[in-house]
Amino acid sequence: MTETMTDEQFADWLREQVATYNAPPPTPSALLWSRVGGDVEQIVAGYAQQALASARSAAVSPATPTRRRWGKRWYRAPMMIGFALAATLIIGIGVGRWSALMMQRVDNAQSVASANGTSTSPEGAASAHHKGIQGAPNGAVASASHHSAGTTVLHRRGSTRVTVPTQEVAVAQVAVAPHVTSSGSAYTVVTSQHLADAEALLTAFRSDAKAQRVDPSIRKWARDLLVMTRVLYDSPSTQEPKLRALLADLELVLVQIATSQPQRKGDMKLAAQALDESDILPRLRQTPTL
Amino acid sequence: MDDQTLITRVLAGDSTAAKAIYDRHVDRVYRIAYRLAGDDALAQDWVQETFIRAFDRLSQFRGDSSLATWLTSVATSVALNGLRKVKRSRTSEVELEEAQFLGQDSDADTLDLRARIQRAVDALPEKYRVVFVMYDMEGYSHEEIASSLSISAVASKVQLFRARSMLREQLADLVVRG
Repeated sequence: MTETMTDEQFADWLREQVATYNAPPPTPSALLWSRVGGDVEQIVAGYAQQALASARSAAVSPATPTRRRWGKRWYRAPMMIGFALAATLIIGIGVGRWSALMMQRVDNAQSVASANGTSTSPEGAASAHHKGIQGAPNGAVASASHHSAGTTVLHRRGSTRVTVPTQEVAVAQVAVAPHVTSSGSAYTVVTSQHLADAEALLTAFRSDAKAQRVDPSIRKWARDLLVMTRVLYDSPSTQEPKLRALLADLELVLVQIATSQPQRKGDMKLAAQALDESDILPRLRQTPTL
Repeated sequence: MDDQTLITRVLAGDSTAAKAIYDRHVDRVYRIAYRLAGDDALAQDWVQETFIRAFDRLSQFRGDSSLATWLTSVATSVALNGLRKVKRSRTSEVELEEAQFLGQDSDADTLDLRARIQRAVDALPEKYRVVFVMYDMEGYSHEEIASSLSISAVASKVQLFRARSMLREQLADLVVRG
């Protein structure tokens, strides 16, 4: 008989025969819940605690990214570098402004000295180099001294007030120069790094925009770079016209990326269009004056 | 309320949602567990382990398949592990049940047929038996079996074909007599 049975016939016959194979009785649902319920409720209580803890941490620091969120992102390192550079930039600008302020005070002192007709002599100048120079009407203090290599360094001092002879002020003005140069180097480094970060971001964004799937973290990154771009643009050291124009265009593109909404695809298109039209990427690669 | 909503509520700490998930799926899980265990106590153990494991890993459920399929996957995994543990004792139990069964029934041919079929199905390799039980006894589709066992639908079909072929070979004489 088996020889005459097709596979389908055999399958039907088999299905009939095995219907009683380990046929399950009605499910003892209540009994099973009595065994399972306690453990399940404990697990769910654990979820409740986790939910509460994450809600609390979100309330304490809503803007703080979690390790999981940032852990495997390829741009984590550039962001960290970006933050470090932002801090360096702020310090650099602070030093630059302090130096400028000191120069201004020295200028003021020079004017006061000229108005008072203080005489100048080589002896007085030499004395000033060793004793220090102060010429601030509001009490700010600076001192100048020669080093063995012939360079002059400006120092801050206590609250002693000294009348500044004209020639000594001139020496003090020269003494300010190394500080300006030093902050200028920091500025150059920070600006170069910032433009490199901006290039990385814009490249990543353009790639995402083509795929019509922009990672939300790119927007956050754009916000961070936007802050730095504005700081650089406002920096008194940013004098070069091409660089200023580049920073202005970069700011516009970054604003569009930072404020774009994921659900509005038009935002992404506009930002990508602005990126292409302003030709920023090629300009970033040929960073002027840096 | 759909399964995804219930899952979200469970993960937020709602135990009534957990009970709702249990009520919705316990029958399906128990049936497959019983079919593979052939024993109520063992099936209950497996159901218990299935639900505890499933709720414990609920946050890992990504929704790639339905919750029912995912639970079946957990249940079959628990059952296969359980079967390996109880293989020896189970064999002796089947023999004992057969002896009792034979003593009570008057129709020797029917008894012989049932006993032979039971033994033949039990003797199938585990992976074939699971597919055979799920498809021919519980009415799962090959796609559901594939998702539950993490195999392809084609592999499920192949395993069912092999299971049937092995049964056909072993039951050939009974079929001739029937």
